[in-house]
Amino acid sequence: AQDKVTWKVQSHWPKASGSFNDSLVALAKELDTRTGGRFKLETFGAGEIAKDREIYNIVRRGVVPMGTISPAYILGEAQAMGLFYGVPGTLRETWEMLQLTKNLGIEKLVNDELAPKGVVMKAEKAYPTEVVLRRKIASAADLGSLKIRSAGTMLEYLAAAGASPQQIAGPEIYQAISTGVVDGAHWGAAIGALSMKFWEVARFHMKPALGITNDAWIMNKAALDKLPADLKLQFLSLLEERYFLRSVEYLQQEAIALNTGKAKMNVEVVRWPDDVLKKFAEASTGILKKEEAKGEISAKGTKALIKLMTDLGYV
Amino acid sequence: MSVELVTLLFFGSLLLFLFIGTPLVFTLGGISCIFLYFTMGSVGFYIVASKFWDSMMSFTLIAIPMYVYMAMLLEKSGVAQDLYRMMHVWFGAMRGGLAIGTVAICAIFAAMSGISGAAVVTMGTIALPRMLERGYDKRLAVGAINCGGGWGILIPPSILMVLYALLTEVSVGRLFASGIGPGILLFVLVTIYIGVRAWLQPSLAPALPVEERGDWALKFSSLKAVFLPLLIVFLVLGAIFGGFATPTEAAALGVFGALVASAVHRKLSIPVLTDAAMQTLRLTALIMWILFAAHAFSTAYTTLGANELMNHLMSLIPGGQWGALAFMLLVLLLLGMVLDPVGIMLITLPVFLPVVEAYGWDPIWFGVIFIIMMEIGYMTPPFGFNLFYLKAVAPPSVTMSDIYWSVIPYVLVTFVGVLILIAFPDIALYFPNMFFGVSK
Amino acid sequence: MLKIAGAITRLNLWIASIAAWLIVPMFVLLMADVIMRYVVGSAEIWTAEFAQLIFGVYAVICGGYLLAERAHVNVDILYGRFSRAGKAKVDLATSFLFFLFLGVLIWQSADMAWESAEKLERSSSIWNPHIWPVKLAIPIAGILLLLQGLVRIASDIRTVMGLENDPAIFGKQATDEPSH
Ligand code: NA
Ligand code: NA
Repeated sequence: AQDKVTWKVQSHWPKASGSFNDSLVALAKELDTRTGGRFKLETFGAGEIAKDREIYNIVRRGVVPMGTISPAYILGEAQAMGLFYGVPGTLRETWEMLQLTKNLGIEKLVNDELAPKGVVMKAEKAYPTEVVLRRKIASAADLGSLKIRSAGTMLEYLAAAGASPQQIAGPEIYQAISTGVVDGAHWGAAIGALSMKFWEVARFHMKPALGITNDAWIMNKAALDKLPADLKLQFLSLLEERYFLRSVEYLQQEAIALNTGKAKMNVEVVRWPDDVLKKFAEASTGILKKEEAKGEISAKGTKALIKLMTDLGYV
Repeated sequence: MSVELVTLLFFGSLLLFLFIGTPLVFTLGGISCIFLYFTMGSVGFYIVASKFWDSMMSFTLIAIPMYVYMAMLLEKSGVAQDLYRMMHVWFGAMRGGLAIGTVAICAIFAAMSGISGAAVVTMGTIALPRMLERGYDKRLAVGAINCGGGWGILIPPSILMVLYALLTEVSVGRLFASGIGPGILLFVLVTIYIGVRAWLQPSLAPALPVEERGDWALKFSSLKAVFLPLLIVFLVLGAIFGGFATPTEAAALGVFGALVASAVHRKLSIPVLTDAAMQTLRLTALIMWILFAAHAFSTAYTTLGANELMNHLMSLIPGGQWGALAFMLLVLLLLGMVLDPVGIMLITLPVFLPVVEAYGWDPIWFGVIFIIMMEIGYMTPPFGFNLFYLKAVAPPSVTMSDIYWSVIPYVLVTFVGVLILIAFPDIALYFPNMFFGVSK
Repeated sequence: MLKIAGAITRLNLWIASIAAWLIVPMFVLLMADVIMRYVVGSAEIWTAEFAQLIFGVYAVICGGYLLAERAHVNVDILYGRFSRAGKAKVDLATSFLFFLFLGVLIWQSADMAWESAEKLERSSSIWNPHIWPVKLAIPIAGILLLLQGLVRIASDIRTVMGLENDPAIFGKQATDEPSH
């Protein structure tokens, strides 16, 4: 008889969300099929066992063997985590993030640091982060009066560019936008804005994206190493494959979401004014310098990112 | 061991220790530990610490100490007493007038706060002693606060509605708007209940004797007592709807208003501030320790296989949309007796939503019914947050058994509200359709 | 032993009398948040987060005080009918739940706090404050509650033995009537 394995997986997505189904449930189904039912995933929606940063802790301690997470929750856990999450204002398209993460070694840099801590992280998908606003802006001067709900590195980026980023608790964002406590927010890009219904209260969808970011799988290293060799190989190969499949699938879903918004919610796509983009570029340079200064490893990662941007003609 | 049997043991032990009289926190915490060990081994114990941390870092809960401090200041500065004296002078001729006034204040409070506990503790502090000292039946009075205090999650803003929206991807704005009609409905129903009950049994909610009702001069001079409370309401609601603050931040404005009110009453002194601060700490700590343990408890139940049980249950669901709806309401009622609403939501919604979709129900309409069922859960014995919060603020003459018995008529009235909503979905859908247009 | 019990009870009461004032900075920070967003035009990014960290400590630290005050709510439908000695016996019989819960809590939260302190954990926000001291508040609160629980056990045993307990030493005592 061959070993059967069932893993509890604590997701950071709510159970009814698109990503829970298209990322996690899709993975579970495919894994079940490929292993002939030998490797099953028992899935938990956000908060069922833990949420946000605590997902990292329960996986590391082996309370559950696996989770999904945003690298933004755990920036302090590895020097290159900020690069793995995505530096705002650097890359412009999803494929560039796939290249940076896999072929240019960012994911490996992160895992070299995480291995002694007993966890393994694999990129799940790359996706854009875009802001929605209540009102149009015409110049960088207007940006200064904008209160935008933000978090993590994005918050730093918006502040550096001259906006007034605000911290509002997740459950209060929608109401904060609708009453004008803040003038805008970001939650992923179009898919996030649609699912959170931000467009009902802020119909200007700003392009280009603030940045391209990664979502991630996180596994307990001991649990992973304990898997029978064939299951482990199948599992890791599948994760690798899913990253690319899911990232491009997500782009199409983004387009569909944005079209839905335009058709049904009167959404208008607006380009950031040129002088704002210039400020963003300056802010980005500053943040990149900070990433670089974190240490030897992050310097190595930053070098790879800058090389990519140079090749793309961005710098 | 089957998940059904484990469930029975899990909740059975909760009930056993609760009724023996072990403090709720230690019952929930201790049982969580036993069952976490049973399902995951000692590695599962980490969940207990993790849940403490989660609740400590939950921003919306900061509204609790703010509103409690506000209530304590209003109580100690005499503002609350004056308000009730005014209500008595004006509505004293009407049997049950104070209780009706109290639920009206509950409704206003519900529009200020997105959580349920703050209103219960606040009104339990301000209103309960006033009603008791005027000869109101303790069960009628306690039940009114228990019921009205729960409207915070139904009348917008509401943290629980945001969670529902997050789990179902419906519009928060639409869902908020859909709580207005049912909120008014429940207020009317509860008012009718109190009015009829007091009319039939005058001893429960006595009218003020004719000689104490005072003349018009007294009536008008007593009116000034409403200005300070109104100021606070305008401050808080103005800040929320004027876009100056989130509901949680606005709670601090409530404290600010109470400080001003105390100063106007010339009661703003170090002893008053200290005394209010001590009681606020005591009540907040008590609520938070219950929340810590309750969250560990529902997580322990999740790891035990709650999802599996729900899937089993849903395979038993009877055919036809009314059968399905009745079945789901029953599940919510039963879970509401033993689990906290957030836990119930996480466990039940993922299995309920496909049913909602299959029958083509409006998820907003279902959401409002779901929220009202959670409100019933807050007040149904044996385990309901409102019950324990009330026990914490009520004078010693009010026993847990009084509190348990007090909720029965109010639960029934609320349930009548649910039935009316099922029969007339437009009560919920009128406002969202007006604000956002008809969906689909 | 009386001395130690009295010291523990006094410690918990003293901590509560200090912690009660944390309501002031929480209030001031939230007000500052609102005022600065509208008067200065941009809220300081740290005010809400600082209020949150204070709230974390405020919420957890007085579990022991609550026990000294017999303020942890219970269902007194049966319990209320017991005599003082009866209540003490029931408390003793069910105290294993208390010790299990507190043992697990202290062990796990100390582990969590230790790990957090070791890496001087910060919050990952732009203000990026140290959060390990707030995590440390959990095991400290747990120990304070555990100590008060031991005092309570001693008090219950003395009650069963028919001795009178001074509330200043053993915390608030049960009465023969229903109560919290
Ligand atoms: Na509300
Ligand atoms: Na209940």
